[in-house]
Amino acid sequence: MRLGVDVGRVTTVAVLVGPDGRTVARAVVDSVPGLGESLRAVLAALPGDRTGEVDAVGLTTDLERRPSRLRPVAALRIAPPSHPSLGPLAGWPAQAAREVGTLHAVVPGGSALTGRQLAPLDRAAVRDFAQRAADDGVTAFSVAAAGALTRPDPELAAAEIIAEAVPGAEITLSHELGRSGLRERENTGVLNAALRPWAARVSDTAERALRVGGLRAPLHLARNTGGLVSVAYFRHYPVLAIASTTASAVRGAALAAGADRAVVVDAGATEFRCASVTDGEAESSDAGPGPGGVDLDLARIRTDVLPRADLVRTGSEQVADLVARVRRRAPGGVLLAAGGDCGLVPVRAQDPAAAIAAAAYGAARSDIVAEVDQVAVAGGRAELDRLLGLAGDQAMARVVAAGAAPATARVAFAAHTPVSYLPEGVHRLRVRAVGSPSGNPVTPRGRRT
Amino acid sequence: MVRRPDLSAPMTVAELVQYGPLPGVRILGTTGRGTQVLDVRIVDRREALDHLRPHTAVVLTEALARSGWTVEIALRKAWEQAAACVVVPDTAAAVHPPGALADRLGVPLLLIGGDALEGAVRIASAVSRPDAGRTALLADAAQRLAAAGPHVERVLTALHAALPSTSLALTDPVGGMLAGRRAALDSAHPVRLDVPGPDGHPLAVLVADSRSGEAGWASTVEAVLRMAVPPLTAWAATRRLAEEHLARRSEMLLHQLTHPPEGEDEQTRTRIRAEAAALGWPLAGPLIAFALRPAVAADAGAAPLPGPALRALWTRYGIGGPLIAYEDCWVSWRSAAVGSPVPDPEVWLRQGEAQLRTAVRAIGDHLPLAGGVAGPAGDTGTLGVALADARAAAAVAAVPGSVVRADRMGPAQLLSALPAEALRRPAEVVLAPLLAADRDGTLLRTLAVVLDQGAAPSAAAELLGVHRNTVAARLERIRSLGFDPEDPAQRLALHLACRVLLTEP
Amino acid sequence: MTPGEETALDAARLEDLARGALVLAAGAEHSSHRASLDWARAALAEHGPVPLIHPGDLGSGRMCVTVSMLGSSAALAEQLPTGEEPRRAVRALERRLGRAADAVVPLNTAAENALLAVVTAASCGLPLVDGDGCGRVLPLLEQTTFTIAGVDVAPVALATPAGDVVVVDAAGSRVEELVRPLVLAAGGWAVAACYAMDGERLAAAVVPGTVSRALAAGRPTQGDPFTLWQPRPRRLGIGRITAVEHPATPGPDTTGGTALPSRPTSVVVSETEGLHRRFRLEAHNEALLVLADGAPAAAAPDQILMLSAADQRVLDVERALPGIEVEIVVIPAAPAWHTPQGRRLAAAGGLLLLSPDHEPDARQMKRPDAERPEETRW
Repeated sequence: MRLGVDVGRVTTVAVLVGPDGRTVARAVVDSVPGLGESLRAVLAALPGDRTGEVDAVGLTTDLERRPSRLRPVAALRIAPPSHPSLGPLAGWPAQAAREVGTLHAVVPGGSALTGRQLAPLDRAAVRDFAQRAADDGVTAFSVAAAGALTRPDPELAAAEIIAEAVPGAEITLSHELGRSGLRERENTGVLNAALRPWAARVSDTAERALRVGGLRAPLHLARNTGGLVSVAYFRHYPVLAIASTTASAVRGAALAAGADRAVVVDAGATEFRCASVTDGEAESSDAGPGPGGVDLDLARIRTDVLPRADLVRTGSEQVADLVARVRRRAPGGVLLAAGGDCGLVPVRAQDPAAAIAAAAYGAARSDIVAEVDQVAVAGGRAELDRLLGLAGDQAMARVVAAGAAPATARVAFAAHTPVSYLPEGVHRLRVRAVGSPSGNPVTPRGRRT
Repeated sequence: MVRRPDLSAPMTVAELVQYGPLPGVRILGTTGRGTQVLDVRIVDRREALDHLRPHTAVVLTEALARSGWTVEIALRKAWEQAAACVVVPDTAAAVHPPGALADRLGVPLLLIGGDALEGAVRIASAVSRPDAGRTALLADAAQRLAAAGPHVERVLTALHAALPSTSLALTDPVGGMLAGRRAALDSAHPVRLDVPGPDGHPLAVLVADSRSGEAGWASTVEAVLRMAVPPLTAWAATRRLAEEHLARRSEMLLHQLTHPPEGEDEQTRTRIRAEAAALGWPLAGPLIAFALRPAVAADAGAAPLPGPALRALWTRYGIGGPLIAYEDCWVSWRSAAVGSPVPDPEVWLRQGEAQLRTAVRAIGDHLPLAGGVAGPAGDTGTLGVALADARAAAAVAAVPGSVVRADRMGPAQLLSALPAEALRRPAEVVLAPLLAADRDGTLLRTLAVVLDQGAAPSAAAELLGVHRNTVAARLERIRSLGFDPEDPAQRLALHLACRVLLTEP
Repeated sequence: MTPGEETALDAARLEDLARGALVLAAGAEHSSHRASLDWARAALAEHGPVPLIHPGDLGSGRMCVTVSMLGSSAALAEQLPTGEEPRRAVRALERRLGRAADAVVPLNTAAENALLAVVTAASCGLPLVDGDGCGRVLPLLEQTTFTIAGVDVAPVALATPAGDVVVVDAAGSRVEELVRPLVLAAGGWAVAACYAMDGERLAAAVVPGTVSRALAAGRPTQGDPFTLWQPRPRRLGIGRITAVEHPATPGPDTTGGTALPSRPTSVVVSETEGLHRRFRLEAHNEALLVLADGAPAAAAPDQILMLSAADQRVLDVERALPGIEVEIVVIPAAPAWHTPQGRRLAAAGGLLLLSPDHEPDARQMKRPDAERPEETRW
């Protein structure tokens, strides 16, 4: 049996879901400012005493519910020099830039997208930078190298140098998180490094609250696009799970309705968010600013939003328009409602108690998900297949590290697309692996990360 | 959908695939398979697609077929110009060949193993002599059927060998499976052919799953099936002939055995007995005789006894021994001493009665029967009398599943053998005044018991469990209604009427 | 804009241009587009607004140079520009020709190329011409209306992010072959300055008004991005991508000619409304042909776009994945492309998948469902 918990801005919901997907018990309480207090309250309100049967817990996240201060990060870019407007942290909004600090450097090294080395890594410069950070008392590092999706070696080498120079350094490598595009990948890495204290706080608080509530089952956090990662993985890669309530609600509503295709309106406290589900997966979008207005290239759920403040007297028409817009992307899907106040959503005969629990239900029903993004340079089909296979193995290793039971891990999606205007053989690879939460949480063997 | 097999008709796309001139061919697109193919065109330049003749098989070279969009254009051009199909080498086909488009346009897409040119030549040869493929197929089938002879299983094996991708079955006229593969019965495009019996009545049906459901192929399948009809009819005729021959011979032999002509010589008698012994008939006395008759209403008409069926049932459930048509029923007999060490006729008859009842009830699931038991007959010379008694006993055993012993056949049996349904209405008329006065049936029951007991009120009172004076009073009341149980003129009619009305319908 | 009028391309208009330039950018890489935009913002902040001039206003005595990014925008997103590339390329060309440039022309007004032209004009202190050499996007450097009009692409000056400058002077048809390996050696992308010509030739050869067109398309209040397009784009249908194929070997049409960068891709789209047709797009960096139930519905040089049905933004062929809902839109090419010479040039490297006499004409073709219109016009 799995427990899903969604700590929303107004209500906190917990659901116990049986192996057959049926809701066994459900509790709704008013949210209070502290995450721990909300969790303890909702666990206490859960009817029946079946917490002993829970073998995995899924918790949604909402960074914006209580915006966390970013911690100072030493941002290292390994690349040839570029225009000042394109340097590390250039273009960051003032507030976020202030919090992250001004400690950044560009050191020679990295490769082109095709894997060609642009310059040998300037190890001395890396060491100097690490030392400078240590002198400033900064231990959080982000390393992003040009061409790291094709050739991650410079990032790995730099990480070794930093770890040697700064004992206890926490290092985020861009190729483990981000995707194509050095600047966005770097931003994602810096943000990840800056959010780890937040992740640690959320994890500690939630685990403590679960223990107080008598739960021994491993904790998982819901990802931005749906799916779960273990709490240990979340501590390392918090940026993957900074805002998962909507994705969980959207997938949860579709799962509860048994709908492969759906359009879901998530009625939140301040806005209606509408998203589509196709083949059980919420539509994702990867462009645009993330927390603090920083440009990221990070998959997140794609929603159309209607703020409650914009509602006029004929609010239901506005909601219908919102739904119609999303319908254009996902024709044929059933319309479902999730969230607290669904009065304006034109859905008939849906259980309001189930709607409010959609996000918690989605978190309970989700599997562990991990993704790998790479650029492969392959001489022919056979080599491309081999590289795809390797990427698949990496995704499997990642999903197990993220908490999947090894026996259940499998590659759910693998795609390769050629890169335009490059010679044949340069491909983007994208692999997604999934698996069921394992009873015994696996701690990633952290070397650098 | 069944087209007359016209062997000079042009070949259809479906036939092209089924006959196998194209090794390893796959067909995409479920519609348009019935289109006739009259011509072949090999296309190595896209421009050539602009000038196709109707009913052409358009064969794309490997180089051209390798770009999927050219195949789509070819399908489109084929559709616009009413060409029959598009053929591409399997090696050149894309991972997702445009089967959906072939479907949508109704132009089948054939993926062939091997070279396009070779495929084109094979198609050309098949198309130029449309009979060749069919003729070869029919000749092959004819040869196999001839070798099979009139045996149902062998005929079906031969058909399956001649039509390797086709499932066939032989069913009875209402669809019950007799032989072959059940898959044929589930076909979406079945080809059916009646197999008449020797008397011309439908005997069985041959069913084939023609797979493609295309007219051209279905007619070919039908042509092959048609060749299988004579051996199947012959098979039925042979079987039936043997059956009838045996039945007629048995009747005659039984007659000769039980009715020895005056002054029959020893030699004739010995020959008859030898013949009977050869058939396995019990000849050593004492003999218990059995009779079976269909327990159906007399007005159901003279339904012919289902001889072979009853014989099969008798073999399975019966007591053993022959089963021979004898006037309006079937008779059998066995040696009384078999399995009965006690030389007591009563024991023999009781055993026989019990055995026959078991058999009659078992067979009754298939065919309602009643039986009679008689004997013992000392030898075959008196068997005829015992069989006649058994037949008479069977005649009074009116209820399905019942068995009557001839020596126990009393008036009650006779009365209960009456066709109560037929007499109910006349009985009601006869007893109308009594029935009108008799609210709870007391008078009718009293009258019946009195008549049963020979008009003795004291015996009747005992049976009815009332005082003798009560019976007397009731009789007085009955007499006042115009019925006198002691009047010989009324007595039989009253007794019958009472019995009929008291028999539960 | 009308002749004689001068508009300044300032910071606000730059944002419109950036949005509007995505309409034609089937290969646009979000990351490189954002990088180009940040770069252009910085260039305008540093050098001030860029004057936008009508092609006819340049006149015979003055020279313009055409700028373009060569190679892969994904490569640019990894190896970011230093900012010096455009000026170095223009200066190298000026040195080679012995005369100074008076204006900058975009090779095409799509994605990074539109922004790169702004950066070039700003950093060289030159005006930008409202027009380009394609009116759309074509994969090869010599595939321009300038070539059709007889303007030489060479000499071509290349500047790479590593600081290399190379001037290639060769016959037009050989330039591509010479330049591609240079670009690859540079890491995947470079800036080229080429097609130097005077104002008079420019006026005759250019596809005019493309920058204004993009500005209009990017204006935030604009619902329909194609308001200023003439003739109006055709909407072929809405469907879901059901398959993306990569033929193992190029077909006969793409062998022999100039090898196109990247490799062919086929995208199958099942129409989700109307006739439920099966569309097949043949792409080789750009979509070159679209078949509707096997019948050509549109072909290059007209531009075939897949717009994501959700937001009306162009879906890059590279990012085409099964399941995505798209709308297929055809933007008719500039008239020069429909001349025999234009078609021949567009066909170079396999751009045209049908021979020139196979102009698709939907009205003459038999349709599976003749009752209903083949397409609706916007």
